[in-house]
Amino acid sequence: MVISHDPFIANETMPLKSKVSLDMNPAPRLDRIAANLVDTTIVITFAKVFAAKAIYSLRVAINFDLDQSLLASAYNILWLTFSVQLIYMALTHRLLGRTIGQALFSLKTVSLVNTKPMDQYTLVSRTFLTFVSVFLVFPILSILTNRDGRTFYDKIFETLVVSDKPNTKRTDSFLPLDKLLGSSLVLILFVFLSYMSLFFAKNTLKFKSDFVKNSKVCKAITDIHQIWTDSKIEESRLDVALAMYSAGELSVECLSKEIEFEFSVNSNSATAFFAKGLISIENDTKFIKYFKKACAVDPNSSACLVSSWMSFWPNFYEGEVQKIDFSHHPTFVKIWAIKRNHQKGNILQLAKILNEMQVPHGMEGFYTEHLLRVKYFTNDTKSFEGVLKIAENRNLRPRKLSELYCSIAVSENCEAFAKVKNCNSLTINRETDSHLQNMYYACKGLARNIFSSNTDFENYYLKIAKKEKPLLNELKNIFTDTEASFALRYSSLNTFFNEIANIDYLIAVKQDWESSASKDFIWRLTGEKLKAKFISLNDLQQSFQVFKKLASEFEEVQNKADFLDSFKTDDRSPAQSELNGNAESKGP
Amino acid sequence: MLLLPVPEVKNIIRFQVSIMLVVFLVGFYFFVEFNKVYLPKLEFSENKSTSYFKIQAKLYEKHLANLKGFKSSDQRLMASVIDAKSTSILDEGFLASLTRVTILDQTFDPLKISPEGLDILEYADWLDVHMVMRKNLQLSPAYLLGINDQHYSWDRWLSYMFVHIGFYHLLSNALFLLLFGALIETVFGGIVLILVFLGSGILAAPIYMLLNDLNQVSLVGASGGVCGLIAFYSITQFKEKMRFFYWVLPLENYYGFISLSSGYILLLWCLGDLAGYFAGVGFLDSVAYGAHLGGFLVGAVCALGINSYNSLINR
Repeated sequence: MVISHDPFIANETMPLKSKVSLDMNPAPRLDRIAANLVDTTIVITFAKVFAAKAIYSLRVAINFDLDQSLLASAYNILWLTFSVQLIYMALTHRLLGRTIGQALFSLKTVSLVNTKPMDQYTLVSRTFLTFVSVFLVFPILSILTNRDGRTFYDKIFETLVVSDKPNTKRTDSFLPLDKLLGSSLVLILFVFLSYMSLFFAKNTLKFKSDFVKNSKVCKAITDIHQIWTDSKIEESRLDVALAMYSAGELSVECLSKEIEFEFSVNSNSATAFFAKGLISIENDTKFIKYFKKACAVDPNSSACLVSSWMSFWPNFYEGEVQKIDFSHHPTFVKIWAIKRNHQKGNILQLAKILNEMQVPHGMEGFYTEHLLRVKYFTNDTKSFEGVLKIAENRNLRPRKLSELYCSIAVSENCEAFAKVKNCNSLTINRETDSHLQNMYYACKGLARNIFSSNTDFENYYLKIAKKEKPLLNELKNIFTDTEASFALRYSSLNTFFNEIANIDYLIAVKQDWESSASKDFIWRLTGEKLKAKFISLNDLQQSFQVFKKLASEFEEVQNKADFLDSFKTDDRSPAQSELNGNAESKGP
Repeated sequence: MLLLPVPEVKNIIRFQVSIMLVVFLVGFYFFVEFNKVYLPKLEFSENKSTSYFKIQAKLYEKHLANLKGFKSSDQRLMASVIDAKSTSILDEGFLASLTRVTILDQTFDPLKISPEGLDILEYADWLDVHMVMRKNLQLSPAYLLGINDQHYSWDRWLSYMFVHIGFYHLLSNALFLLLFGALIETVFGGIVLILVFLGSGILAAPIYMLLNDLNQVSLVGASGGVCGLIAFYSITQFKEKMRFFYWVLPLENYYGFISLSSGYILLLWCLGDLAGYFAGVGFLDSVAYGAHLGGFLVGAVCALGINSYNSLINR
């Protein structure tokens, strides 16, 4: 029965310590936990029915990503559950004087003030605190760790759960912990649970926390974006693109949706699409689309060049995106499938494909790389028939030719290589033939890329670098050469970068970058460094300065390199390249 | 906390029909399992969970844009969501359900959809996997014998009961069929058991079709019939006490047996199924709460009929 009682009068008359010493039989902790579980199960069973529509909305919101109804549904579920719990508590206390769980284990909640059941005000307030205290977990922790087995809301409302059983043993502490340790444990668990709840809320319920927007990186990105919006200079827009690339997904969080929208749609430029592609390159297949658009808007822009390099997509290099012949795609699909599935015995078929379709200029490395990969898994020497045919039938630019040489050299197939160059000169006559030497390094760099699982090749490049440590001039020659830097870029061997940095070569190159011809390589390297250090604001800004200079000259340097390369070929003059370049970039 | 009805049945000969029913269910399950034919699975390249689903979503979006009318409310819901969020379809759960639907959507022909705007290599990968998955699902016993928006004729109302989607699905249904089948058989005999089981199972199908929009996910399992048995027993034996096993904590004195009225079973099951039915999002659910409610309804009607028949005889 519910007895009305004014606790304030009783408080004045009766000190708490004397109340605890009353002859009561505090409930065993396990009984309390069991009763709690039973009550929770009953409440949840009914609450699920009453909150079914809200649960439906929540499920739709979570599964269909509707941000607006998400929080509203969660809120509805919470207050409906609380209402059910309140009704349950009121009903059971009215009818039984205790909850069903307490009745099953012969327990009862009494007021310490007068050793009688709680009044209705205490009941409602206590129920609310029970609900607030994470509904189930925190009360159980309190019961387990408190010395007297009382939860914090028991203490607030001066209540005690007692047992009706006559011979119940009164245990001082369920866990062998003193008060300080017990409280610390509760605190730690509470902090852990709170953290986990926040983590869950952030990731599952897609909260956008303010602390992300206030971080240093975000500030740097927004600053650079502000510079761009103020100046509207193309270079600073590229800065934004690179900054967003460095920050990755964080940049999407940093910039509000409106800014992003303006950036991607209103500024209908190659750089903007390039930026979008960069942002989505990590986990999105759409980056190809953005790179395509970057080239479609302005085929001659640096953004298109970098896009084509980033995408590794055929025909991008020439800016012929809109004219892609989709009859190529089945071939690429087949090559892709062979590469991925490592199917043995497909090499002749692949060679046949390569022989039948005229491989566009610029794609020889692509084909040979895949041929080599197949060769690695099939151990079939006939795999170079297709490669040799490519080499014999066309006049390649030096860079592409070097890629072809690389592929053959990596295979260590001297017979095949002899048809193009003298195999022995590759390994023996290094000092006299620097071009071949460069290619040799380039080959090993490519090998790292192709045979990534082969430990023999993995550190080869590094070993060579260490051997040549005293020969700084020679190394300089190597790395100022375009072929070597191109191969290095493929290799992406970070340990190698570090080793080179140890011999102070790269530092020197970085300081003297304007006189170096290997801008391409440095550009790549700086990108790596930037990605590693983007958390530091100063580093970020310094890197952007370097980036800004490099990016502005990148296009120019690239054009110069191509122009110089075209002179080295025997049959193709620059004028011929201009005339035939576009036509040759497409396949049949 | 666990509360499970565990009736006391001493004479095994008295419930041989329910054992036979369970044996038939299990035998049919393994017969189907050993005889089903699937195409070999294809390996998809890296980033399966993202790129696959994104291509799936993008193509299905195009497909829905071409359709003039939709068949079910689920598709309408998805179409509206896709329209609203067409640029950022990122949620994995949504896309997983999308996969389930598109694979069995007969009007969705991936070959007729232009892969424009997609990476052609990813699209080729996706096409292979999608076609194999679709073929496999069309060869699955659930699709061949269950009830879906393509097949819902009266013969399926019977066949769907004996197909189970996995061993645990079978186990739970067989367990409760054995428990309540034994109880009903002991009191009313084997013929009543079979009639109630088959009747509620068969009629649960049209009730499910009334309560839910059919979609491409097939309805299978004997749970409709089992729910009919539960309702039948609970109502006919409402005043009888029944033994329940309870489990609160894994400690002595916190688990054991308790005697409660049989009506509690109906209350517990009905509450759970009602909650599930109202909170259900069609194809996202793996449990057909509508069929459960249909089974309860038919079982309750049978029980009320038997009660009134008994009272007439007693009068």
